[in-house]
Amino acid sequence: MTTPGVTHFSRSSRLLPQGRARRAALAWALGVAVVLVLAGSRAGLGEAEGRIMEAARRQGAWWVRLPVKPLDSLYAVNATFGPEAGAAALPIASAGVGHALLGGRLPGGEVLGYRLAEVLLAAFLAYVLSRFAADLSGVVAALLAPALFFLSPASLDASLPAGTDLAAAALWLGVLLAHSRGLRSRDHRERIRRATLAGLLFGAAVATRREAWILLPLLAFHYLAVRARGGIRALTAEEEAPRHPAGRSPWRSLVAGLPSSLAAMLVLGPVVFVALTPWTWVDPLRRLAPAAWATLTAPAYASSGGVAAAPPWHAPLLAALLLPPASLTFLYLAGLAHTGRRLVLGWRGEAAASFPEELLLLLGALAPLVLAPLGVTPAGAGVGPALPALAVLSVLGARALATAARAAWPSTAGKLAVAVVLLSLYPPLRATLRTFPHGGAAWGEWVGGAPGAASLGLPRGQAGAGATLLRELSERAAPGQRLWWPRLSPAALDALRRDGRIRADLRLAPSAAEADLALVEHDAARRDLEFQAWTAFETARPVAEAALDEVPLAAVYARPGAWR
Amino acid sequence: MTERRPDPGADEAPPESHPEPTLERTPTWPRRAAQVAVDAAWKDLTDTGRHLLDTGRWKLRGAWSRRPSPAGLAAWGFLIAAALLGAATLLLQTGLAARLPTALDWRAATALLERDYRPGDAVVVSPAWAERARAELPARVPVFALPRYADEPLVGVRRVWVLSLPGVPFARDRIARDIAARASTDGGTQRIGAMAVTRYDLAQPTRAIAWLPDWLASARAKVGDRLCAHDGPRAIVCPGTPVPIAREVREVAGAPRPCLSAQPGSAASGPVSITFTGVPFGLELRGAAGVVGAIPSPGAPPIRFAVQVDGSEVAGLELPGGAPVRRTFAVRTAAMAEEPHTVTVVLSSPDPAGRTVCFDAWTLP
Repeated sequence: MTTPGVTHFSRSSRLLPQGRARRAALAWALGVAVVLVLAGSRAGLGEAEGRIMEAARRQGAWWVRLPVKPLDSLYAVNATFGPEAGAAALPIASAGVGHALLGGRLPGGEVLGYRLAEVLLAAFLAYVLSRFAADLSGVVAALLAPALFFLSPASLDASLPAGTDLAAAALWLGVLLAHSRGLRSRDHRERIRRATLAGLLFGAAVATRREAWILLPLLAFHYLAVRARGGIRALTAEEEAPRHPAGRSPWRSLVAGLPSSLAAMLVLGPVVFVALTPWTWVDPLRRLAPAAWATLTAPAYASSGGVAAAPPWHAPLLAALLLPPASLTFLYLAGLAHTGRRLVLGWRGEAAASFPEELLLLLGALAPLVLAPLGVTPAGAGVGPALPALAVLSVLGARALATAARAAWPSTAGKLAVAVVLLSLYPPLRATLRTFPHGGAAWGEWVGGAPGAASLGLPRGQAGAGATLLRELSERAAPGQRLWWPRLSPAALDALRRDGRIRADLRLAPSAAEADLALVEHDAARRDLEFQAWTAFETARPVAEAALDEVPLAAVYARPGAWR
Repeated sequence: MTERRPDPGADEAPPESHPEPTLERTPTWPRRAAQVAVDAAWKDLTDTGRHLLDTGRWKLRGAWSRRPSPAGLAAWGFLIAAALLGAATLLLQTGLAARLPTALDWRAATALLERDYRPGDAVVVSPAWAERARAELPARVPVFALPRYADEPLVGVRRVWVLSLPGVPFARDRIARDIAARASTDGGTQRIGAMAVTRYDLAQPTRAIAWLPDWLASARAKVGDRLCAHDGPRAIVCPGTPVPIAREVREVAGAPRPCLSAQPGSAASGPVSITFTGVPFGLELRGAAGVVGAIPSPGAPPIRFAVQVDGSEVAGLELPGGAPVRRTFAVRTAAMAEEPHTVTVVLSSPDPAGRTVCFDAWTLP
């Protein structure tokens, strides 16, 4: 029996979150997770991910054993945790736990186990992108923001392997969202909740990529700038009056007005970092410097025919600007310009723009772009160092598009936005699908795609392209051949073999001289390895090649008789 | 028009007037009718025009008052720009495929080289990254993929086939210009789909009398005073040295180089020397050396590379510790051309730091 006037929701609809924006965010998170799981089996596997897998194999078992045998685990800390090159604690621990839980329990689940945490973090990033955009500009922006991020071939490529970049972007944006919501909230309990979340995410971010510590001074600067602006300009009626009583000293009022999320980050950040980094439990002082240094380790950087140990200062900026498709870069820049304009309006108090919010967004977008050229961010050839900036720019671009559609044609803003989005986002979608699984090498149209970038001497940027040749290798290698795959870690090779991507009868060789088949990547920084295969096999002619628009990315060389 | 008549109530008589007799006659009725019609039409027209003007002005005023705000105009501008850029991006994406060679183009180029290839020919790809040629062209055709060719010796090459992709974005023709500058004739350019193939005959091909990497099987090597032992025809193993002296293809300054690779001797072990006996000489001895590998070793001391002929040093190079470079040398040997000589290559460094030197040398007639 139903009561008139009362709407009865079905059980399933009660499970769904209330509000269109929240549902959109959840749909994006689920969609991204499904796509990444499906795409993972065809994606590449590079040297950096191999290093993480090697460390994760050691550490995953330790983390799983910790609750069962805590004392034994503590004794094993020194043996298990070393200064891991190129990665920090959280990505390794999460990859290890994922592998310990999933690897071997699911057919083809070895590599997926290592990547499980990455998939979950990508889903989290999609959710945060959508929620942040919804907070700023409603449901249209909520639908757009994740698309602006994940439809860039390079961003999707960075989301697939177990690594630090996507996690850093997700946690960076998560801290900003929690802090922003905490600032806006009038409810004390909600502010505390948001602050706690910001503190936890900040700790996880620092345990992911070291440059995340900058969030703390960044948000402190934001607070001081907003306070200073409040002092310079009279507060408007809508702005919150200071909560401290008159007559209190400026220093005390400064401390009293400190956002609770800053305090939470200061307290919870180190706690989370230490909790996720077991070597700090036993030997923090002696290992701090080597560990911090090791996280900055990166492969050599090749561009314009030259090779360097580290990328030039402008490499991350070029990657952020030129790797995404041209229409996406335009939306990013438009979002940045729109935020700058709103910041000025907010400063003048002329419009509904909020100066604190706009300043926070601008700082969140620009700080990673400033840190990467300074060498604070782990160096890399691709879009990875700038990924946190691209996440914030995606939110800003989505807001700019939604706002423009509303301003241009208020009565049909949604339809107008859809029309423009179809024209703007179809090329990135097409590029993402067409270039997969070589999205890291898919430079944007500004530089003529992968061929134009190669002509200009820009790096190939695609790590792990060799793994895309495994299907052909399995089909055409003669039985019982020895395969040389330089620089890929034993854990990664083992995972590929268990997943059936490397044929079971193929043995692994330690050098080209002892191998019948060699799988090498064309990254110019490692051509010497490829030339060793030429010497060993007495041929420079590959038997199989992975290429993107004629630009070679990886090749298989074979001795006579080893390839059918 | 009405006729004016005298006012009947006026006291004074009007002054007597003497109107001039007029020749005008009262218009005929058709003329009057036409006049009325014209007047009516004119009135109607002016009324309508005035109405139209008023309406237009009112509409314009309304439209101006309802004009988009500057923010609205900016929004329209942004949306139009985003849509146009999206369309342009799509056009660029689809246009790129047409500028790249297809599988059919590669098969046609292969057929061409199968037919016209002669010993002493080599293919040079332009741009240098277009190394798909290695996989597609016949196995017997050597393929060069270097960024510049002005100073390349191209030992043993008499004719060069420049295979270029002219439609590729930012493609430059400097490779073709380098080759053309060294050519006596060119065989014309053939377009094969998105590829262009041009054959050049080199004016002065480099034909070596002796190329030292080929002489490794008969060479002797020492580290300090300790003799090294042969490990097959392509390698020599020295005591206390983890890496053998070998004939290899190695990466030097970003390019593949067939060469002899060896680690220099340290201050403790003494220099590494490799001696080739009975090397025929001509007018010139040339060669090059560079440190192998991609990663620079800043701070490492330089490596000294020296070439001795019959015990006398004729050439010396210093290979710095920074970014890997390839250095060349050339020695006039006209006075030695009559008989074979002994050539010794000496490699030394205070601290080799695990570096390997890749070197080659050849004598020219």
